[in-house]
Amino acid sequence: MTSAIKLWIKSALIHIAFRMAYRGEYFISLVSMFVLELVGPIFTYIIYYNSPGFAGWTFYQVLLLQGIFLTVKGFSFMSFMGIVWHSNITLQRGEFDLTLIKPRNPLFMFICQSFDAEDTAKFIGGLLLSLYAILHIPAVSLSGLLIGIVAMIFGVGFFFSLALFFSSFIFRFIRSMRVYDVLEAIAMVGYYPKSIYPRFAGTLFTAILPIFIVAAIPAKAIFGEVDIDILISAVSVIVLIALGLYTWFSTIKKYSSAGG
Amino acid sequence: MKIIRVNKLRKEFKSYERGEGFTEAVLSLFKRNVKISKAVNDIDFAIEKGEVVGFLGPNGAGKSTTIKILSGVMHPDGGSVNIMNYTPWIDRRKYVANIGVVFGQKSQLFWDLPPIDAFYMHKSIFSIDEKSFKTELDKLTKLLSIKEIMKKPTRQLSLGERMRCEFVMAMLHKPKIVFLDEPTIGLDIFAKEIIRKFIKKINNKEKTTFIVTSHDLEDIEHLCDRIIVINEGRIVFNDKTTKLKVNNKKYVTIKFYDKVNLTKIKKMKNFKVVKKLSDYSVRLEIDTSKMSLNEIIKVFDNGQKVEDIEISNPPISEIIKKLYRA
Amino acid sequence: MSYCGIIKGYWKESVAYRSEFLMSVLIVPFRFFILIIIWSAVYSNSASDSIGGYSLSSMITYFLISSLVFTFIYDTIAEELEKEIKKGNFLVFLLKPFSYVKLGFLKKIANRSFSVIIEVIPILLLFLLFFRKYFVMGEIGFFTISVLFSFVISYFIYLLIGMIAFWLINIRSLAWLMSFGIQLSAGLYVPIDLFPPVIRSFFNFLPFQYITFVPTSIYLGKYSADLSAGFVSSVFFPLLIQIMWIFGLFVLTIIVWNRAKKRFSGVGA
Repeated sequence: MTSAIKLWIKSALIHIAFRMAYRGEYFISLVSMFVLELVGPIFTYIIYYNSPGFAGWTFYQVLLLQGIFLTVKGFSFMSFMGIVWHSNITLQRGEFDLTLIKPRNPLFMFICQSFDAEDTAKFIGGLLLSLYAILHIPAVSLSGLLIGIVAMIFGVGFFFSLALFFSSFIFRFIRSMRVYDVLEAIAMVGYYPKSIYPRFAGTLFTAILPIFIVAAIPAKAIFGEVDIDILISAVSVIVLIALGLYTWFSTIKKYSSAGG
Repeated sequence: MKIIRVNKLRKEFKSYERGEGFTEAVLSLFKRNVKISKAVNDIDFAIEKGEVVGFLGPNGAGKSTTIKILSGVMHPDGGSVNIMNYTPWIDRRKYVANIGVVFGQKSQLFWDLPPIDAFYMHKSIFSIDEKSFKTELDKLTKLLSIKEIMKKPTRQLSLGERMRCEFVMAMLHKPKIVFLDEPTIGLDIFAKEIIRKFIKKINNKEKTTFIVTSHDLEDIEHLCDRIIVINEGRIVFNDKTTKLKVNNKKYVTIKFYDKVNLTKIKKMKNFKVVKKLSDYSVRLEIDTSKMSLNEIIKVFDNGQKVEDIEISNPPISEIIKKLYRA
Repeated sequence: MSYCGIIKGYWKESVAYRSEFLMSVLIVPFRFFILIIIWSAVYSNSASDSIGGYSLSSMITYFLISSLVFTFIYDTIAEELEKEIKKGNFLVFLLKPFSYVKLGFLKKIANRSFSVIIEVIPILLLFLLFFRKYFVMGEIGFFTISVLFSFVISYFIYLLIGMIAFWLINIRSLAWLMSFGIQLSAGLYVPIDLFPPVIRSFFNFLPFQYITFVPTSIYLGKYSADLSAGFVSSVFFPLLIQIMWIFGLFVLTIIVWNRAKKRFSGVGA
C-alpha cells in the first residue's frame, strides 16, 4: 500500500518535471486552465450585478459552491481524469501493452501514467476561490465544514466513476466522440444550487447521476444545512464506482483478447 | 529444463467487413459480415532455460500474437502455456515481474527526461530493493557503456544510445526471460554489434533465456541457437539454427569463356538454375547429397570451358523465403 | 485553382468526421435546457420582468442565436496552422504564400456549410420543438449580412492567432486563453450589455463583439432598420464598423504574413 502511494507521488512529480522542461508553456497553460474555469463565477457575478440572483442564495454562497466545484473537479482532473484522454492516445499508438507488462494493477498503472500536471491550477485555483468566498460568509461551523469535506470526497468518487466509464467507452469503441464536451455539459449542472432545478431533474442528479454531491451539497452543509440528500448521493456514488470498476476491468480483458 | 511450454495454442481474430457506399454503411448497422482469421492455429513448442530462440515469420503470420500471449498481454482462445509454472495471462502480475520486454519501436523511457529517471521509476514499479538495484544498474551500465548518456534527456540520444538504455531498463529487475521485439531495427552496424555482444554475454553468465523476433536475419544467425518459423498461424520450422543452413544445398557460380548455353545446362540433372547473371556466367543450385562437388566440377570441365567458379552457401534469407511460402 | 473542387474536397473531409459534429446536436440542446432553468430561476426571483434590458424570452433567444452564430463562424485554423508549423510542413505552403490563406478560407466555407446542415439546423429545430415558448422571432435580413461579415472577421482573427506560432511554436495554451477572452468579449457567455460599464467600454475597442454580440443584437432588434433614429442607432452603424474591421484585419494579416515569410526564409529550409 505504501509502495503504491509512493509510486503515485513519484509519477506526479515526474509529470510535473516533464512540463517544467518547457517552463514558459507550462506556466501559461496553468494560468489558462484556471482562467477558463472562471466562466461560472463571472456568469454568477453578472447575474448578481444585474438582479437579486437565486432565491435563498447570496452571491458569496453561490461563489463558494462554484469554488468547491472547481476544487473537486481540479483534484479529480489532476489525479485520474487523465485516463480518459490517455485512453485515446494510448489506443492510437497501441501502447497499452506497455502498461500490461508491469507487475501492477493495470488501472493503478494507467492512472499513474495519466497524471495531468496542468490541472493542478484548477485545484489550487478552486481552493483559493472557495477560501475567498468563505471569508465573506458569516455563519460557518466546524462540523458543517467537516461534513462538507466528506461530501466533497464523495464528489471525487463521482468523477472517478465518470473517468472509468469514459475510459471504457474509448477503449471499447475506439473513438473519442468528444467525451470532454459531454463531461463539461454534465459538469454545468453541478455549478448551481439544487433548488433552481425542477423536481425530476433534482432527483435525477441526486440519486442517479449524483452531480450535486460535488458542490451543491457540500456548500449547503458548510452553511449548516444538511439533509438526506447527502446519504442518497453517497450511496449512489458507491454504486457507480463499483459499476465503473467492473466495466473498466471487463473492457480491458476484452482489449487484451482483441489485440492491439 | 524446459522453461516455456506451449501446447495447442489457438487464437482467432474477428474482423468485420463493411462494403463501400452509403447503403452498405446503413446495412452494416444491422448486420455485419464477420471474418474469422486464425492468427495462431494449434501450435506446440518448448524452450529450454538459457536458450536464445528466434521467432521468424512474415508479417501477419501470428508471430507477434504468439509473443503477446507469451508475455501475458493477450489471452488465447485455446491451449495452454506454462512458463516457470505461471500461466502468463492469468498470473500476469506475478509473472511479468520475472520477465523483461524490449520493444524496438515503442519506448519505455521518458522522452523529455533522462533515462536514469525512468530507471528509478522502474525500481519503484517493480519494488526492487536499493542494494540489488544499485548492483544491477552498475553492472548493466558498464556492459552497455551508458554511464555518460543516461543523464541526458532521452530525446537527445541517438537511436543506438536509446536502445542500449531500453535494454538496461528491461533488465534491472533481473528477469529470467527477456522478450525482444525487433531490437535492432534502425540501428547501424556498430550499435547492432554492441547489442548482440551484450545478449550473448548475459546469456552465458546468467543463463537468461532470450526470445527474439526480428526481420534482421543477421541478428538471428548471430544470436539464436534455435529458430522457430511461424507462417499462417502454424510452425513450419522449429530446430537449431545450424540445421537451417546445412541442408545440403550449395550455390555454384560459374563463369565461362564462351557464352552460356542455358538450354544445355537446364537439361542436366541435379542442377537447378537460380539466376543467369550475364551472357557468360550463371548461378546454379546443387544438392550435395546427390552429387559431390568434385563430380560437379568434372561435369563442367568436360563441357564448356570454365573461367571461374565460386561455391557458397545459399543465404539464409532464401531458405526463410521458402518457408514463408510453404 | 478550382474553388468548387477544393470546397468539395473539404466537404468530404467534414463528412468523414460527422460523428463529432453529431455530438453537438446532443450536447448543445442540453446546455440550453440548463440555461433555461438558470435564467427562469433568476427571473422568477427578480421583481422586474426585465434584466439588463432583456425579457426572459429574449435572454434565452439571445443564447440560442449567439450559440448558433458562434457555431457558424467557428474556426480551427489556429490549431491547424500551429500543427503545420510544428511539423515543419509549412515551408511547402510558404512557396505559394497567398494560397494558404485562401485555402483556409475555402476549407472554412466547406466545413461550416456542413455544420449548418448537420448542427445548426437540427439544433434550431430541436429548440423550437421543446422550448418554443422562449423563442422570439427577429430581424433576419440585416442579421444574415452581419453574420456573413462575422464569418470573415473571425477567420482573420483566428488566422492571426495561429500565426503567433511562427514565433512561439507552442501556442496551445495561449490560444485557449485568447479564445476565452474572445468568447467572453463576444458576449457568448453573457450579453455584453450586462457587464459593468467600465468593462463594456473596454470591449468597445476590440473587434470581438462584432463576431457574435452584434449580429445577435441586430436579430433581437436592438438597432433600428432605418435612419429615423439617427445613424448611430441604426443597423448601418455596426455593419459599417464590421466592414472596417474586415479591412483592418485583412491588412494586418498581410503584414504579419510577410513578416512570417521573411522569418522562415531567413532561418533556412
